[in-house]
Amino acid sequence: MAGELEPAEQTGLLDHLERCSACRRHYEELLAVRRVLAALAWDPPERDLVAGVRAAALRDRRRQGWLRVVQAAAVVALAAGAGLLAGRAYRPASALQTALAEVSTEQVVQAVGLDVFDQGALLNQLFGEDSFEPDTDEETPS
Amino acid sequence: MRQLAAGDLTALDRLVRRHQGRAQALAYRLCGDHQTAEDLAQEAFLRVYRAAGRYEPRGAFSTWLHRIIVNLYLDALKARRPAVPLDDARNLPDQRTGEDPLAARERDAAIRREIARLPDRQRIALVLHCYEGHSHAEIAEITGWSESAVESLLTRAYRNLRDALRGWRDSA
Repeated sequence: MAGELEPAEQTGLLDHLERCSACRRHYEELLAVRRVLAALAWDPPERDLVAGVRAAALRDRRRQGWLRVVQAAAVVALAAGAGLLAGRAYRPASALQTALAEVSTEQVVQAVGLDVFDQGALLNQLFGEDSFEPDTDEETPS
Repeated sequence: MRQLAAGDLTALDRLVRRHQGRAQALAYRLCGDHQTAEDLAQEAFLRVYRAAGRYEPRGAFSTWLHRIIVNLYLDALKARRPAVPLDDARNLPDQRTGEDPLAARERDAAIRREIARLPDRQRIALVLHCYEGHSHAEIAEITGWSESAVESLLTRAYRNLRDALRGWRDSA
């Protein structure tokens, strides 16, 4: 308890111990335990850790160096990737893409000459019977 | 620490040389095993090296070092139960005089065994208080537990040891 109590508290405690036999007995038992524990002869390790710690610190420093290189490379790769994506997103459409977007499917069919064929028959011939069924919602001529 | 933060490894050497004895002693008293204690102490110094740039000299350096060792020990406890040799003293030369060496070794073995049997938090508080001389407030700072929790742990630890070592008290 040394160092844990203020001087006034310590005086008060000692006064109490003089009057209270139960607390005095408890206190003396505690002191006896502390004496036994203090008598214990420890045999802690006494290895010189200097070389081991230095080697570990150097390994740590090298690892940190590599980590920084990898981090820098990752940042460069991310930046390059982001730049590439941004370039694609803002690249103006080519003249061919613009022209194709303005041409209707019918115009393409006519240009290639497919309009002269019966498209259903053509598909059935290419992919087998019944692969094309005409739209049933269409009005059939009476 | 400023030199260490700047990466000066000779500063690390000096720091290790100065504190390694006490660091290994604390680690050994906590875990009861030489190899584990050396490993804990070495890892603690490596943590000091890594954190040197963030070190704020609010309290004693040894308090900070002890906090690192206790935290490493608590981490080791979570990972596995550390080895606690119960009869190390059997092979030690007894340097105390005026005492039956055999009786002293038996008593030391009994004390080690009973300390090892304490619940982990009680053992940590006891070692820091009884063998490292830390105050309740310092133990609270090292462990991160409240002062009232430390007081409670110490009361229980001393009471447990009082009961367990009843037969050895008078021979000390």
